[in-house]
Amino acid sequence: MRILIADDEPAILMSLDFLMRKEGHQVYVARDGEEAIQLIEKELPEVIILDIMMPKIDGYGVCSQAKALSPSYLPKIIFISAKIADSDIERGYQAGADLYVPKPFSNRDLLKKVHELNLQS
Amino acid sequence: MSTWIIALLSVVYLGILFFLAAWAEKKKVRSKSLINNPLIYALSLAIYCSAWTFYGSVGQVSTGGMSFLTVYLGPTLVMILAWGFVRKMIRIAKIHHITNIADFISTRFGKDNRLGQIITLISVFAGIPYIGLQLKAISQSFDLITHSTPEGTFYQDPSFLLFIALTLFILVLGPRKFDSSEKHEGMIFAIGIESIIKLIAFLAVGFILTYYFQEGWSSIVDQASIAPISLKNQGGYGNWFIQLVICSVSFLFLPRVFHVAVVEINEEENLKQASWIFPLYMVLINLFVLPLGYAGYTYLHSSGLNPDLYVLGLPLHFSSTTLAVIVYIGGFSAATGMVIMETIAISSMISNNLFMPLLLQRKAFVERNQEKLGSIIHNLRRLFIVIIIGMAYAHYRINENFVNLVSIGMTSFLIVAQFAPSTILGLYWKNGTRLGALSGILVGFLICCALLLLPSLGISVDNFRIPGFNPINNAGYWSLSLNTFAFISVSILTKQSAKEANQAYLFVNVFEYTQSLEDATLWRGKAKLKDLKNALAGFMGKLKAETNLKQFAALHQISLQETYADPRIVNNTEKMLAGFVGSTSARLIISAIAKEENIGVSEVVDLLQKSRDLQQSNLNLRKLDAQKNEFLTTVTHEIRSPITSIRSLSEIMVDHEDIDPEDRKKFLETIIQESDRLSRLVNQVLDLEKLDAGKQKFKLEAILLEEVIEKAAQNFIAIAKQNQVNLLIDVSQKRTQRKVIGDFEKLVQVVINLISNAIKNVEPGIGRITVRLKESATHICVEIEDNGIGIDPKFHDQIFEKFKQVDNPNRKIESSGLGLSISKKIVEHLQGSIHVQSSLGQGALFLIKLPIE
Repeated sequence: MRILIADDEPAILMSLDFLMRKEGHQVYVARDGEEAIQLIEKELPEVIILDIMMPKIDGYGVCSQAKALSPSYLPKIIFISAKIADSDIERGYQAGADLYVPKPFSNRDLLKKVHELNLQS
Repeated sequence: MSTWIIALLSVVYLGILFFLAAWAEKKKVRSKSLINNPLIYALSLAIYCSAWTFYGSVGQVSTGGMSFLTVYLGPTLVMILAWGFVRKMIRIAKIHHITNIADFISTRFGKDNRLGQIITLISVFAGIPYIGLQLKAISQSFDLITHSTPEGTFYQDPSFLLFIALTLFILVLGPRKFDSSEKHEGMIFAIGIESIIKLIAFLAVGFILTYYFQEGWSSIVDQASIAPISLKNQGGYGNWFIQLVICSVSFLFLPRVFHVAVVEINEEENLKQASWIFPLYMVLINLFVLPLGYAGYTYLHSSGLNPDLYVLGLPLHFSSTTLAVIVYIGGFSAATGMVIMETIAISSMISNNLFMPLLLQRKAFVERNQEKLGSIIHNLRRLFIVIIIGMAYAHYRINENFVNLVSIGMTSFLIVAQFAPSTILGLYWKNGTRLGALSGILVGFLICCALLLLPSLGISVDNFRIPGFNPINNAGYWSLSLNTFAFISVSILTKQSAKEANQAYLFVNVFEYTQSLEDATLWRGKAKLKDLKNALAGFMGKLKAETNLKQFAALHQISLQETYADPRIVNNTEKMLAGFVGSTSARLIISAIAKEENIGVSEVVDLLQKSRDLQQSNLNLRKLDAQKNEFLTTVTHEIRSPITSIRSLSEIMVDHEDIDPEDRKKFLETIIQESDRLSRLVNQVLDLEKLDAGKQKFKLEAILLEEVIEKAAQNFIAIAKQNQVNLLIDVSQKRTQRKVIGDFEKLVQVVINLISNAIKNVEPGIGRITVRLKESATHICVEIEDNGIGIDPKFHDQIFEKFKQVDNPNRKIESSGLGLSISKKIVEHLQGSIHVQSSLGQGALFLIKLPIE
């Protein structure tokens, strides 16, 4: 599966990159929203993991642009964010997320959820 | 057209109106107000345009030229120019629970009952002929459209039946039982609709007559040159000016206008937009007055028809029945709207200001009927409405062929205009006294009566006649100027009582104390809780009174177990009662129950001040609390990021034992870095808290800033190289050995913060950072300049606040967002200052200025 990960924290990017590769996925990483959108347009990944507070374009923006790309392109979108208030989570789902994972998260949990999400489709 | 069709049409019209009003009331119950918007508010103000406008102004243009315009220009000017005054009236009325104009003026002058009674009597005197005028308009238009000539006694007159229907309509929707707000949601909605109907009708007849039956404006102007109508002002500019003054100042004091403009308004905000919607309405409804006047003169002058009926006569002349019916309904709506609101307003004045005080004096009666006072007043008001309409009808029948619409209207205006000097001045001039107002109003009223009535009794007033002025304007000139003079001079000569002075202070300074006035208790004395409860129960029912008291007590944490009531309860009870019976009568009721002490103005000011200070400190606390919350949210958020990486990376190393040694090393290094970041963050938060609380200890000594900079720069030698940044420390040449007072380590921290920010902001390879020292006579300044991306000037103040990071696309080294905030606090603690000069793309220059030892 092809996964795009966008986060402005290099350490988180590093660990998720490693984790997903180990699972056998093909991984693309982006340090900000703009980079993420460029990669999405080019690679059309099946799963997009997004931080919300990123430079240039935030996670909500990336999410809506990715969804508007083409009617046939239906990526799964996962927000990972340190914003953990109920209102934030609600907003994430309203923005079109398939999953909202609060930071800090457990790798195993995250992988399990990505797997489940994948089965659904 | 047949009599019964028109009669049926009129009744159906009233029925639809009733239905709309009931619908609006129902909506209101579901807490969706249809009238709480600027449009309906402005339309309800158009109640000013009565039948006099609808029929009379065309009549006036064909007899008196352009002078009809003053009637519209006056209120238009008030809404546009005296907007602030209207707002002040609205605010005062809301705070003091004022329900009519008599209440308003008497409350300003010490809640004086006698003043309220006089104002009520004068308003009734002015209002009844004016209502009669509307009935006359209805009746005449009815007769004209049905081609009938009234004969026989009044009850054989079909329009008499219409008046009965109208009266029933008002009785059902008018007076409120068990409601202290004196607000008529449905009625106002209906009035708004009526305003639309009369406007559409007038525009329709104007447009069709001008463009369909004739060839537009030009043909009318041609005809006009034949007709002996002069566009020129008849009577010169003096007349015009006085008439404009009368129309302007009387506008808000007409009972119905005061009621819709001040009492019924839901939110003050609505006034803002109404101040242009209402003038626009006035322009629209005047658009076709001139062509209609000319056309009326051309076609109908020879027929001898009363010019006041030209608007209806014209479509009939051209045999356009539909148009005639539209005009009739428009005129009917103009007349009914006025009658509805005016009778409600006047009946409230009669009951609150005239009758209640008399009733309350009969203590035995009050005690016997305490439970039923609410119902008694309710029924009395209905009775008053019937009496008012009856008197108006009688007035119109007696004077039927006596005067035209305009002269009665203007006389009415002139009489209520007498309230203007004391009210307008009273809202801005604290020293205006009760006796001043009383004399001003009486002098003005008596002069009006003398100058206007004596001639009809055969007594000449020519000695007082200013050449060129018509009788009404002449009376206006004398009465208003002498009224003002009497008010001012008597106010200067008399002294205010304590109560008067208090009210004057509260009215004049209403905007300063709006909130305090709601909260502060300007009352001192003793009243039994039981008596208060009974008084309230008389008007709103026992159950509602008790719930109300309990709610108020709970809200303010007052015990209801005491025999004597808390002053706040007394205050609140008076306000509630004011809604039912007006504030002067409420005052009477309370003073009958309570033994009170007078409070002087200085004490009132003191109380209000205290209440306001309390609100202010409350507000500040809430603000601080919100800031603290925001800070906490941000801190926890900032902490989550390093924890996330640490957790995730550690988990990887637990789960994958076969991990590549190079990866393992990289991960462990990252974990250490992130742990450092975490502890740095915690330390910074603690630092900031200490600085905020003033608990941070400063080791003060005389220090050389050169040494500070050198020590700070040492930390960056490796990092600068790694990031390919040229870091230039340019301080060694200009050693002056002058020192500043400061904490060495803390200043090093400040410089480190600024240099590390600069490194984050420059491009590798071409990045250049210069640190310099500059000296003035009193200060030494550390300058840290970079050629990085710069900071938009609109963020310059923000960046020194906690956690305010300006979005930086080159963010490479993690920053907490607290560095600049801490630096600023440290520098300021040392009596210095920190600034930034920068714009986007132009690099940034940070300046730390410290006083020389």
